[in-house]
Amino acid sequence: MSAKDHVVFVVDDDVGMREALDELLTSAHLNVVTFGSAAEYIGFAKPALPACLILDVELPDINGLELQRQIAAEQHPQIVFLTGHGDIPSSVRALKAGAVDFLTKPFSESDLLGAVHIAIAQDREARLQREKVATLQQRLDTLTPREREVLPLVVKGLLNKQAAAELGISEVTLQIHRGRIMHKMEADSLADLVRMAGALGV
Amino acid sequence: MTLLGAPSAYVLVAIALTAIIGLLIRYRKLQEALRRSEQSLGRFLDTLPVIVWRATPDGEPDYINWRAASHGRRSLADVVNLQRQGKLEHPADVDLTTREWARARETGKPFDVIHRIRGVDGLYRWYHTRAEPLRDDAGRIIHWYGVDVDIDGRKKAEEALRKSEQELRLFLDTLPAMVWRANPDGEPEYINQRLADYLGRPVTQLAQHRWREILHPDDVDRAAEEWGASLATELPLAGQYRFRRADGVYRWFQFHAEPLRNTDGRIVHWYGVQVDIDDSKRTEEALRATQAQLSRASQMATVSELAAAIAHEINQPLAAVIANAHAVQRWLSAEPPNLDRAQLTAERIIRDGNSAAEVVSRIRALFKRTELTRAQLDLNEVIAEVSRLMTDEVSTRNVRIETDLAGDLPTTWADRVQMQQVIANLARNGVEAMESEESHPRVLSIRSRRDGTNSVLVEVRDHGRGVDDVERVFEPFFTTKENGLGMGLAICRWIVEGHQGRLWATSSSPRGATFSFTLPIGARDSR
Repeated sequence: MSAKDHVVFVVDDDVGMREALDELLTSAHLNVVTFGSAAEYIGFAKPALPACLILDVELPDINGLELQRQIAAEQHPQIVFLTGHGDIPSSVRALKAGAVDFLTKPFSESDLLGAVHIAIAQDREARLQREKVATLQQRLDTLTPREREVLPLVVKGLLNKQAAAELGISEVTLQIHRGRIMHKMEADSLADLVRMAGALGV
Repeated sequence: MTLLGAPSAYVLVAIALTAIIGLLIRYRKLQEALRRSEQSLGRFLDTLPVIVWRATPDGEPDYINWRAASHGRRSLADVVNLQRQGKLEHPADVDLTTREWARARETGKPFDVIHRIRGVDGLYRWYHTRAEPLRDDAGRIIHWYGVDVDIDGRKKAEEALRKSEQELRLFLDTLPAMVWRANPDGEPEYINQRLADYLGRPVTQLAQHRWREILHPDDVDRAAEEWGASLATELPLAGQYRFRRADGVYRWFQFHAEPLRNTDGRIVHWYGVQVDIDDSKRTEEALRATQAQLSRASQMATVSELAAAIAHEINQPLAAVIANAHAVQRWLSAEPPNLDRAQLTAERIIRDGNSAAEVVSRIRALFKRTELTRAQLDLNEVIAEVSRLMTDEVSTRNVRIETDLAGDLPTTWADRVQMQQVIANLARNGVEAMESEESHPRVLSIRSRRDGTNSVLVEVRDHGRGVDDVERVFEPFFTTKENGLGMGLAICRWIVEGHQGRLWATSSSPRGATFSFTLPIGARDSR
């Protein structure tokens, strides 16, 4: 991995632990930023890079699981939890809420690095996905109101004749709208357009 | 003859006249005597301290003595008048009197009523009126003779007595307790209504040792013994026994008996009260059971919390050590190896390893029997050292340490460090006990004394909230502090007992606690 294509956030109140994580991740060629508390992490201006958050469950200001719940609504990096005593209910909760892994201290190097790489990869994928959707959304925004009406009928699989009848327009007019939609959405085929509509939730 | 005859006629007349005059004089004298006798009778009747009256056979009063007349300042006519108008007697008594008077006249049997008569002052007074008939030879009633005796004072006293008796009885019966009285031999004589209702039997069914029937079979012998001892020693009795309710259920009672003595000091009666404490007794038992469970549970919880705390303390540096070790491996196996970073990381490994070891040794120090170096030790020196060491800690908490050390304190054979530990621990507990309280004065006193011939005594006294259970405070994991391990006092006691001494706690009055310990005086061979 290159220097600027990812970041690993570490939140742990124990200085020794923070340093050790920094050291280990750095030695594995990862970019690391460490924080002593959840508040510090929240207040940090995060770069727009694929990221992983290594979160200690027992934080002084807020429980790691609680932090996970709080940031769930936002776009946040994938989380790898660390805990001094891994109780099963907490780990189940964390994993159900989307954590990549839940590691008990002391953890093995391979478990941690494996989890971090998975997290970064997932975050990268998620970011790409979000970008794609954003692009499609931009294209969707260029459609006229009539075209917005035609689009769902087309992707639903209606024949031109049926769609035209539904909207009370001629088949020819409908075909013109459809052509414009394909063009504006940069769709290669009807199948492509259906996929796009699915991603946009149309 | 004629002449002779004439004078003799005069003589006869004269004799006759003389006789008549004599008779007249005698009659006169008799009349006088009768009048005098009547007068004296009237005076006698008037002087009698009762009302005397006479009535005709049909009940019409025709005489009352002067007392009645003067007492009410009424004439016979007034009395008759008032009676006719029904204003003489109390309205509540009129029927009774009228009925009785009619019955007496009808049957000729004596008349006897107690009733209220109104005086001129308008107030009614109680009278006891009795009348008997006087008959002629044929047995016909000629007159009724009667007396009215004023019994108002007695009647009022009787009424007051009855009222106070009634009140007392009502009081005893409504008292929310069961009350009884027994004779000097312990035989029950009286029980109040509440007790009778509870037992479902009157006091008569308790005599001749039948009171044994109302006690729980398990309590009978104990109660008999204690009650017997009380009767023999004449001392009050207080005990708790189960009494049988009418429906057969036994309930716990707090039972008290006290003797009442006369002026000679002899017991006249035993008085007793018993209060139903069954509910509170049950609650108390349940509470005690819950407390025992709770203390076991909390002890378990403390142990597991302690274990978790220790695990966390050790785990943290251990995880850092492992992570750092992996990093070192990476720095060394990198191309080219990053020796500087490896060196730095290795140093951190040592640091974190040491910190884990330190946690372990701190915990070991709490529990492990360390090597003791005992020597002749002056406890006064130790106390002075401890109070000097604690000066800062104490002043930030706004507390003052006062020491009162015996000048002639003998030395003991003890370990200096351990004694410091004990005294510092007791002192710190005392200071902390006064922290959150409105303790006054905020003074911790440490005192040393010789105790008998072969030991010395040290007392650490605070003015904090005191201790609830002077034994439990010494149990391991017992703590009232938020962050306490609950090991301090347990270790202190272990140390003192290891020195053949004794450590105990007492609650001081009005507030605060005193922790005292003794150590034997002397040399190595005394151990």
